[in-house]
Amino acid sequence: MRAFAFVSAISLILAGTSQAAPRRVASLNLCTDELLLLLADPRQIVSVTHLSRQEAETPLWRQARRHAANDGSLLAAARHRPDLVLTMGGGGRDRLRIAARLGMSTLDLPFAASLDDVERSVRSVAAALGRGAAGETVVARMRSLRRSAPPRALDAIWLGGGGRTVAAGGLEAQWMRLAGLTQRPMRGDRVSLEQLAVRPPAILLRSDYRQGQYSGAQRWLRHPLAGAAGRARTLPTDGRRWTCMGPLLIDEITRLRRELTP
Amino acid sequence: MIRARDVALPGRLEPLSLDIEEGRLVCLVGPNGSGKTSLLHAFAGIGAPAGEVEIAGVALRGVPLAQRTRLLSFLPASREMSWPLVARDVVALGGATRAQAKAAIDALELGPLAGRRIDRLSTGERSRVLIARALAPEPAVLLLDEPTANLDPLWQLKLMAMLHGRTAMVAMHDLDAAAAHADRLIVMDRGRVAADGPPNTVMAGPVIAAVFGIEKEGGRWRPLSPSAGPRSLP
Amino acid sequence: MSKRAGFLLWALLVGIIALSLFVPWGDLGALFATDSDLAFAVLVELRLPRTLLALIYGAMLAAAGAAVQALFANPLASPDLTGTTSGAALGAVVTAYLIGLSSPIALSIGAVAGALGALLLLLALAGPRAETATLLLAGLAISALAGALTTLALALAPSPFAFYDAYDWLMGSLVDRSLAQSAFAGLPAAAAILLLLRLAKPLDALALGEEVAESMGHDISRLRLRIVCLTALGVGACVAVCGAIGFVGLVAPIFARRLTGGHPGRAIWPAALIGALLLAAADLAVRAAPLGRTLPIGVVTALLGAPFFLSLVANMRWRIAR
Repeated sequence: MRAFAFVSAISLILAGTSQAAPRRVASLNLCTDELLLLLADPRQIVSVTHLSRQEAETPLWRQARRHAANDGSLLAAARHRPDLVLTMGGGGRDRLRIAARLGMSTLDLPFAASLDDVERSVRSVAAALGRGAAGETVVARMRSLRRSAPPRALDAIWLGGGGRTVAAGGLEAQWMRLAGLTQRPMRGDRVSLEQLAVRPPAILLRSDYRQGQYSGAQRWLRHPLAGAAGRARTLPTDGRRWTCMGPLLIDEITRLRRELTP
Repeated sequence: MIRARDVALPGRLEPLSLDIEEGRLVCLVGPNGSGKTSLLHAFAGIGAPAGEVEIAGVALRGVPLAQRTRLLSFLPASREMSWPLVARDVVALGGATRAQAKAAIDALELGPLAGRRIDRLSTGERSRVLIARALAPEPAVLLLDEPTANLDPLWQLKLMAMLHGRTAMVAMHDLDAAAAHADRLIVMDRGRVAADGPPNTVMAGPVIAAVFGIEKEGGRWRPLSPSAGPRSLP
Repeated sequence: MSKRAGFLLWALLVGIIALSLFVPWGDLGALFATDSDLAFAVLVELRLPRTLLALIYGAMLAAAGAAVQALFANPLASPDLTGTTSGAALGAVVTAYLIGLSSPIALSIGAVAGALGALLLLLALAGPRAETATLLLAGLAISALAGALTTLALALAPSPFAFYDAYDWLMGSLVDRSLAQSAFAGLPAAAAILLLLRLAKPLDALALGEEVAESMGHDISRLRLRIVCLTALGVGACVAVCGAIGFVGLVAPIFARRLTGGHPGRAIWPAALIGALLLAAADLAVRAAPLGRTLPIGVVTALLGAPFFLSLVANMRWRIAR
């Protein structure tokens, strides 16, 4: 089913003009920004979202600042006369139709739910950009990471602000498994300070997302018991890379693996 | 008993000075808006009045709360209460002791009503409860705004008899009742005292006709002829 | 308040404190066997602050509600209906998220300033002894405005996470607060409650009307100023830590006046007890909720309080129509 959705999304794009590689590509979503910045020749990019220009949101912010910003709307992207627009999660069939009428091809990626989905997304963006080789390099790195996954995994809890954690069957947990960590299932994907203190995991994978800025979630992380009273090993992780759970996690997982090897 | 010097409320009451001897029942009369209530307010210290009021030789300004309830009680013209208290509790709110409150309830024959909520009483009954509240602490001076309003004729008489011999200032509309019961009659007009003296003298003088625009003919009050109208005093 | 009613209230309070501290016991009991230091820390650092906050915040809301109702001579006034809690939340949110001062003291000051602003605005709009309709409309307008501005401030905040906090600020939360935080809310609130208790006598005298109270030597404008400031201080400090919680300040004083024969002033003390009881019970309900998610405590108090409020309004309408 999922594969079919991909095929249909890709076929929709090629309403466009030339079979040659697109020369003006805009992205309307932080996660497609990341794929675009990772895979495209910089000269192909005309616009990315304002989010990817922020250091707090993505490690690719420096590259992103070389391009014009949009607010995620088709209207803002249209100003740059793109011949290909990258979106994610739809935004409705109408958006695709309007884009076609404006002479823009569209590549709409579904939200990834598995590591296979991530590889497919990489490949489809690379193909649409005419940068198949760059895509294969990324996929090859992912494959090698997946092949070398540690046989045994430690009990772990991914910890974001306010006690937010991740689903045990979700994509985050699949990436964590590649680092040798098993996300513990938590009710409602939330963990309380008391749970952390009373039944601490072996590893607390703690996101540093927006650490310096005030929010109730950050206040929660500053509670004296948020470190499981020192009974769990706390590993900080780059929270930005977990937002899209895309290929940017390859380096992070490699780093975590190194940290976890005795 | 009461010594007032330059007492005034801006815009409502011109500065006035008065002395009232102990045990005198002073009735205040005057048309609507003439300043009866304002005078009572000023004497009771309501609305930040200017001037000095002394009761029994004690200056009211800055007197401790407990002592103040022994000096004066004020009864407002309104008979409404925001909270549905029981009559007995209302009487006790004025700072009276238990025995005093009991005595006041007996004096106003409120025994059977004492346990009932004030919002479930008739207006006249509520008036008696609030009067009992004012009388209960046995203050040196009573300042009562239309205490006889809403009372039946028998209770009007009983109340005036009760006030006899106490130092009291009572605002009322019934000129005849005021003249009959007062030891001293004060006529208010436009925030000033228009006349002040023994009831007979005041009632006989020209002030009543000038201030109220009415005259007595054959024992009945009737309006002055339109051309005469209410006039201001010289 | 009769001795029996007082005893019953205290007994209930002790019971609910015990429940709040020791339920659920399973995992914590097991931890006491293996690592009693840590188990004790969980009890003192996590369960105790939550219990304390529920008690003191509930008591504060109810005491302020009783005082404000007595002041406005209106049983429908309360810190939430008059916009005080929403104003406090707005003050805290602007201070922390937009100005960027997130220390507990800055949060408290921001919340107190917000509460004070809302109360002064209410006095300016509705007047000192407002009709019910005017009071409710003015309060409604203020809380709606403050709520919208709070959401706006959170949406404009630099951290996109801030927006998720809107829930906590608008509906309240006692989850995972530290002992230090409960002190920051609890100490000003306790002081405010004690000082409000001292106003019981003038507020009872006020039941006879403003003129009579003044003739008895009570300075009404000073009384009003004190209540406004104490309410802003106590409620503001609590909102800074727990967000805005509704209906406790409305409901508790109404029950309390039943125990004091309708006396509005001396109802402050039983109201505080009942308020503490109500909020602690609501927090227990939140924890027992079988939804696997944390339910905002304001939702529980609203679910309990709103029908009560509606019946009160219907009852008033019936009395007027009679």
